[in-house]
Amino acid sequence: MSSELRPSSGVIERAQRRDPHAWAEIYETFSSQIYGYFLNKVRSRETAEDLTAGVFVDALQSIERFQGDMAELRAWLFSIGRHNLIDHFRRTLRRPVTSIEDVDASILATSDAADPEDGALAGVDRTLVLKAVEGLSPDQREVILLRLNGDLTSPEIARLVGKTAGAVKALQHRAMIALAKTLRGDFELGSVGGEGG
Amino acid sequence: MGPYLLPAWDALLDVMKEDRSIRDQIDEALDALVGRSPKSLTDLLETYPADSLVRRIVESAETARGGLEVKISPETKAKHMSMLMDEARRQRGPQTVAAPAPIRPAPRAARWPRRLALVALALSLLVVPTAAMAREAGPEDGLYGVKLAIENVRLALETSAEGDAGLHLEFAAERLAEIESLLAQGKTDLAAELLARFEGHRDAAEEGISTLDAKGQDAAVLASHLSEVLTHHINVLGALVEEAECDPADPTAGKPQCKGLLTALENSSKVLDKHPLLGGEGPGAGAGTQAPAGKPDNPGRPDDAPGRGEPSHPGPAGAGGR
Repeated sequence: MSSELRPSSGVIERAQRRDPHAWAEIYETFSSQIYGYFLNKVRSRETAEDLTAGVFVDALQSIERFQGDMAELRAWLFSIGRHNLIDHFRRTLRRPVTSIEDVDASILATSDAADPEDGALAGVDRTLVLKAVEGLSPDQREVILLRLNGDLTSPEIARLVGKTAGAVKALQHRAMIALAKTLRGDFELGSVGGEGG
Repeated sequence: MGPYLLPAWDALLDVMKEDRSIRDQIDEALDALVGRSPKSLTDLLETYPADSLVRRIVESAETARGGLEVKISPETKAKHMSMLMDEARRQRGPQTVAAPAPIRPAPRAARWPRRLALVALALSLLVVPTAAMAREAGPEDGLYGVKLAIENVRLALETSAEGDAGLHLEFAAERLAEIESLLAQGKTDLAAELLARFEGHRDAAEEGISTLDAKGQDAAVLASHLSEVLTHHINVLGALVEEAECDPADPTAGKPQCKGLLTALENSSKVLDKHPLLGGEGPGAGAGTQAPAGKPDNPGRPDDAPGRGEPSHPGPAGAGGR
């Protein structure tokens, strides 16, 4: 997952003029993050794909009302995505998947988790990570998915979820401690500067 | 609050301050990991002492991030992009940029019926707009994966043997042009990866032409095109073989790439010599189909293979392939 935003300059202005290539660039830049967020929320590939497509179609319809840079565009797309996700759950009367048993087994496949060439991700136990995330509270999970899947900042997440930045940092703090305890068998709370183990 | 409570209150405040400090440090570390200007994990970890809490949090965050990451399949990307670009074109019309307004999500009413209709539309239109968009993408561009995905979709949608062979030829020629461009930039590793893709299309095209020919259908135009592609390929390889000073009699001698180059050269020569349609003499024809790839001073196709149609595939032209 890359946090780097690399579309060509003026892409937002071109997108506002409905330049198809600008939309292709925007989709290329953000689709994987948005899809990852959805997939980790709904645990269904097909639904996640539909939701992802929906975000960009909705964005296309209202892009002239957007004002900001590419990072803000990402947050804006996620705000559309979260609204659509809530609509989806409301319509289907489903709650977000909370059990690892409900997961579409195919999304756990290593080959789908990431590009095999991405060395940074080699050896990641996706099932363990999903279980660790599943063990978080819903609020913590939302913050972590937006942070680590969406690459959003705490203030951006705060605006999306309607909390203060301090509250988001607190959720993030507790969530990361919990994740670290699950993902690292040797993890114990310690001091910040050293002696953490 | 009586004075006897003050020490406990002070202690509580200290804990809260420390807690806030940790939160801020974790937040800053995550900003450095996934924020707008991310650092590399190595650089980031170096800023924290070994075994520090924040360092362990960063390592766990990176692990979690890797585990949570998923990528959309190229086919789905192609579908979505096609739909999106088509809708952008449809909406563009004469309208101009509207005045920007505060950020807020699009209205949600009636989104889904429209969206589903657009997705359905995309399924029928998924090839042409995206192909047009991705056509210029090179192997190092972000859209290159989409380009390849679209090619696969086009192949999957093609129902005639002739059309299928034609597409494989088109994509073989495209790979060849990309390989040439990469080689000109000295990017031999990436060019070698594309060579395998080229050979896959080449072989599929050759098989399709053989099938058409066996059924008595006219495959002459396709065969001529394939012959041109192969000749071009051989010329490119021939130039590389010369540059690398490879010895066709001993592929293991010379530079490391010689073996691969000579094998590729021989394979394309074999295809060219295999069919009468391509100017060769068919299976089992003379020594040219099995011989090493020519003389050291002209390391392209074997010079001794008879029956080669000069106009359609005149053989290697020394360094002329580049």
